Amino acid sequence: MALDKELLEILACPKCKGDVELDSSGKWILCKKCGIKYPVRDDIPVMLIEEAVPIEERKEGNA
Amino acid sequence: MQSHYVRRVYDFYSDFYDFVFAPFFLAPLKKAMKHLKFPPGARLLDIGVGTGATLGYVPEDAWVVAIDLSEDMLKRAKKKFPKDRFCVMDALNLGFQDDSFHIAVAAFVLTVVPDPQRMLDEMERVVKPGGQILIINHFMSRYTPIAIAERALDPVCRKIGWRMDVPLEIVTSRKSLQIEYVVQKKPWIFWKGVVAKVKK
Repeated sequence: MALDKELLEILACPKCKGDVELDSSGKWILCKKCGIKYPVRDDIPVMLIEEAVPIEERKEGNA
Repeated sequence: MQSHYVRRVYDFYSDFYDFVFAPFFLAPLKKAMKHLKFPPGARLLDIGVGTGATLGYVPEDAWVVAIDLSEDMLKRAKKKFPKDRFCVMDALNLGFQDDSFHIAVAAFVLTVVPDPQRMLDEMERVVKPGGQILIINHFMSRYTPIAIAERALDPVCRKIGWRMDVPLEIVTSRKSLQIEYVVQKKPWIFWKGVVAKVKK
C-alpha cells in the first residue's frame, strides 16, 4: 500500500519544518534543505530526527 | 525523561497496554471527546495514539493522522484502524506543516514528554486558527496533601514512564489558547480534560 497522498502534502521535516518528498523507491522521505532522509517502514513514515540519515550525493564519473 | 527512554519503555508496554492501561483511559476519553466540534471532513491529529484507544471515538468521516514515538504501539493501532494514517513522530518535533489540522488530541501524553510546554507549542503550530486542542491528563492536585504525595511519587513514576508534577495551569495559562471546557473538575478524580480554541 502506498503512502496517502494527502498525508504527504502535510508532512514536513521535523527538524526545519520545510517541505519533504517521497523518493522514487517509496522507502525514504527526503528533506533536501537539511540533506537528510527519513525511513518509511511498513508504510509508516518514521519522522524522527535521530532516525534520519544523510542523502547520498550521486557522484559523477564513477560508473 | 529523555525521548529515547520513553520510546523504549512504551515499546515494552505495547504487548500488554490494551489490558493494563487502556481500560483506565476509555471513560475519560469518551467524556472529553464529546466536547470537540468536528467540521465535515475534519482533519484530526492524535498525538501519542498508543494502541488506538482514542480512534474509536472519532467520527467516521474524519481524516485522521495518528502519531506515537513507539513503533510497536503504532503497528498495533494500524491493525485495528487500517483506514487511518500513522507516523512515528516525537510530539516535541512534529513533522507537519503549520495549520494542517482542525483538531489535535493528546491523551495522557503531556506528562510523558520531557518538555510539556514545547509539546503545546507544537500542537498550536499544526492546528489551524480557530481549531481545537484537547488535552486529557493527570494534573498535579491543588490540594496540598495530595500534591505532596504526588511529588514524593514523581521519581518512581518517571522510571516507569511518566511524571506527576505538571499543573493544569501549564495549559490554562497560555495566552494563545482560549479555554472552552475543563472536563471533570472534581478534586478526587485523577484526570482532567481541557478543550481549548487556538488563537492565532
